[in-house]
Amino acid sequence: MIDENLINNLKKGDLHAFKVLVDGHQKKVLNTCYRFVNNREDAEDLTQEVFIEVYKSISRFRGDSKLSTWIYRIAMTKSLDFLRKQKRQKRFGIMKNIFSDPAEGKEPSAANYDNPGKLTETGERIKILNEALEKLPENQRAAFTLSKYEEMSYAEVAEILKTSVSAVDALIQRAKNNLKKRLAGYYEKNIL
Amino acid sequence: MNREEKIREEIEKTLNASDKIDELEANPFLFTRLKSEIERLENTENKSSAISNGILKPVALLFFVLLNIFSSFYIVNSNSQSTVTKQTYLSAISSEYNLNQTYNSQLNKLIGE
Repeated sequence: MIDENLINNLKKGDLHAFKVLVDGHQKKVLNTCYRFVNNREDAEDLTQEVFIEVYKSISRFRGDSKLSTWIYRIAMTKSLDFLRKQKRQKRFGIMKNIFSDPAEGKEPSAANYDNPGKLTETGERIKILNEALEKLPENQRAAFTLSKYEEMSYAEVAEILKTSVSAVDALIQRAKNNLKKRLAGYYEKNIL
Repeated sequence: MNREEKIREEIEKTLNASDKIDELEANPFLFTRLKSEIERLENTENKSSAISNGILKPVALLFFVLLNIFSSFYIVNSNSQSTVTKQTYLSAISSEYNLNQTYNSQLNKLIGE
């Protein structure tokens, strides 16, 4: 009911309603983006883009799902788009380095982890886990991230990913197995 | 503890490390940033719609009117030109095959001129 009034006011372009929406969802949107991109500044920029998109396209929201689900779907899509763009840039950087003078070229920057516990053992583990997560297929990564980090139910994840609960269950199981394999590979090389 | 057990333990610890990731606090200035971005977008949209309504639409209309006039002239001219061309072909054929006036007029009738 509250959502309905809010949506109606948003469709009228009411900035007060928009502020209510931003205040209510910004922390979760910020953290959802952050779980994907691992960098606070990028996550903040993405959060801004998410809410601008919400404001611009609220007239197209038909109410088939909950407003929050729709917002988190936008957040996830924007984050995955950002990661794709980042991967393309990295590939382009590598190509540029191959074909240019090594003295002029810069090394492609590694993923920028911006976690407070960077130097601690936990920070190091989070970095290793994030590197393994980056190598997962997009749908497995999205399902795992939303379920594990955002503590969403399988039903909520299914709604965001526009799939069934059983498919989400399968995606998360596959994600866990793949993560274990990758981590095993890492520790086999790094434990003497 | 053997190597495999150690690896298994490390994997578990790393997978559980995600529980310890701190939550980010929301940016208190986000709404202000959003508001100014929305205003900027609306201004840009207004400007572009003003340009499209004020300049682009009349220019496009004028372009289509001129295009229509030009097409009409072209069609009319090409029709008169084709009549001349047919006559030229007819006289070329008649002189090539030594056809007389009667044949010419019959040929004209057949062609429908």
